[in-house]
Amino acid sequence: MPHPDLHDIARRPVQYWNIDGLPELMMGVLWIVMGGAWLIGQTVPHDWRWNAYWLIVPPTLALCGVAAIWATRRLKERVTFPRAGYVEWRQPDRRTRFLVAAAVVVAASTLALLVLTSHTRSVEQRAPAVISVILSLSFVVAGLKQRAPHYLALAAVAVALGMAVGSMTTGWDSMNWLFVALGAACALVGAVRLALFLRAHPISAVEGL
Amino acid sequence: MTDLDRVIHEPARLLLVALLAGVREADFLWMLRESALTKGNLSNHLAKLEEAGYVEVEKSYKGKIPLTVLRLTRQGKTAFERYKKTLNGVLAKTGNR
Repeated sequence: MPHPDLHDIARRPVQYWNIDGLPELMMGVLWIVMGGAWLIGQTVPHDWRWNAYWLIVPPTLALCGVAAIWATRRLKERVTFPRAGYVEWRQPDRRTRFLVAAAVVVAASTLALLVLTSHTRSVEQRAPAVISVILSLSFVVAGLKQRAPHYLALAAVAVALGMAVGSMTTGWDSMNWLFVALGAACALVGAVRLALFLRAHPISAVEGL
Repeated sequence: MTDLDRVIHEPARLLLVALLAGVREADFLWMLRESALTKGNLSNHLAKLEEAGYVEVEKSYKGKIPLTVLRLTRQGKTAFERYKKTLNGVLAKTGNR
């Protein structure tokens, strides 16, 4: 047996998280729900229904994000673990958590600064392009780190959809349509990968020591 | 080379320890899939790691299916870190020659 490559092995648990297409599927569904809820919100009459809708929907969507992570984990327990093995992933260390939190604060501050200092109209017009580039870069980073080529394909789809949606509609609606369309693409990729995973991994009875 | 931990230095066992170092715990099936070892081989190597106190083995049942959960002990983590450090040292020395 050749000496194992420790860097390659260190990457395997993260790669295993994406083996079944469930994260992409759940992320896609979440984006469709978020974009869809915002689009529906624009059609609600501006009376008590508008107030009620916007009072209920944003916190519900925030809860949906947490619920999606919980649901992915439960689905993995039922679908993935019996077929390919059970893994309890490590929680990120303090340094990683701090870096992620710092990155989120910087991104949010930049966005807030952009909105406050620019004309609202120009922000509205540029938002879909900027968001699609940010999402595309996130896909590229994930694809390279996890050696997952389908993320690189999703990165290209994000840019293409950003340009297409931006040329067809303007304003915040275009951003919501971008989320719906990109969510559909993610969900489709996830569903295909899940089907392939289920075909390749029948439930195994292998156990014991 | 004599400083290298002989228990971990064996390629199959190094693979198992490195796999377990990346997770909090994993089951036998995952280790079998990721290591590409045979069931017997995997059991033997895990038994040696357990004997050395590097791996903790917990056997239970999930319904009627036996479940063997494996995790690296504190001693195992320390040994793996020390092994990597020693190996890097050896590689640096040979690189300098």
